[in-house]
Amino acid sequence: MSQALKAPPEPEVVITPERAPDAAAGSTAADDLDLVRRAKNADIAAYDDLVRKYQERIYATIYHMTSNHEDANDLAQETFIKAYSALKSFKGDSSFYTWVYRIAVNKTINFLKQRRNKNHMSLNDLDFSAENDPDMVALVSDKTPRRDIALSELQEKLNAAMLKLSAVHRLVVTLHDVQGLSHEEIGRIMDCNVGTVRSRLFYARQQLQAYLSDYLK
Amino acid sequence: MEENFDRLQKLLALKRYEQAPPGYFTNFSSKVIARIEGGAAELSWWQKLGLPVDFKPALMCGLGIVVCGLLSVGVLTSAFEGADQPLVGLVMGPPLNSPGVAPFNVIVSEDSPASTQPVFSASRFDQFGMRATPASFQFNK
Repeated sequence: MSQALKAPPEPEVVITPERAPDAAAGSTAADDLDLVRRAKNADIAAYDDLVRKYQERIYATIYHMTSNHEDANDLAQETFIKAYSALKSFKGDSSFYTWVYRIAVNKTINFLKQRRNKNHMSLNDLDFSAENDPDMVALVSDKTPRRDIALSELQEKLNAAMLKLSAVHRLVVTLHDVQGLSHEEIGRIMDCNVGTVRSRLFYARQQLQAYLSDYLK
Repeated sequence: MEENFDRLQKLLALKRYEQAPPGYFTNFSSKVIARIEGGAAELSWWQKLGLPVDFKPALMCGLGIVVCGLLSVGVLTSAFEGADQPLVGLVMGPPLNSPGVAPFNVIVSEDSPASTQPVFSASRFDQFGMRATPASFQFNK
């Protein structure tokens, strides 16, 4: 059904330090290949560099998918362990970044399928700077005397709404709207075309909008 | 609609402020490397055989045992049920008058118990000329 929905024009995306622009990933692809080559030759320090490079992004993707720090910790570690064991099968057809992302995504989706409806949130704390973000300030009521409570409540509602989405739709929203990946890159990670990514994103946003209608007025 | 999505995107941006506990990433890679060096990244036997990584050997073995068990039960049940019935069908024996073997005659009995008579319609078998005939044996001394 989601495939039939017409995708909206691409929204403007605000770049923040946490985001992972394609250009930055592309510029380091050669470095990655060198590290991979060394890691294949049992240079564990080279693999350590690769883990350090992508640990935050991989963790964040899994965390936003599960809304649970402990699960994200386990899955992120397992992702890098599995990537290491499968390193010999990495041919370099895609970037290491896309390849390891794919492993993380598959692992997380399999985990969510097994967990089914047993969602238990274990949310990370909000960064202090959130309180000073004008967009965040605008989202919470001006009449709320204690803004930090309103933000944490909003965080909980947002995560609960995310968990209502199917794993695939949650993934698209996470990769695009939270992590700022392009449609093309998401398509490569999810092994589907850009049109499918766009329609899934549109459907997921519609669903989220319905779940969070009270907070979007 | 776009404006509403814009507001939703601003709300989703809140998730970017969710940070892992302080110092969490300081030791993350060392934990991964320690697990790799501890043997966590070793290939399982099915991976060495070239089977998919998500192959579940326990599940497959369990399924195989269940299928074998059901097959065995089926074979044993049919063997016990058929043990008290006279032999029906074509029986192969040694050639008559062969040296060292007592000759026997095959006697086709028309008055065998009704339970040995085929009760199903053999129309499909008839097209190939196949028939099941009750038989009994009498050994010559």
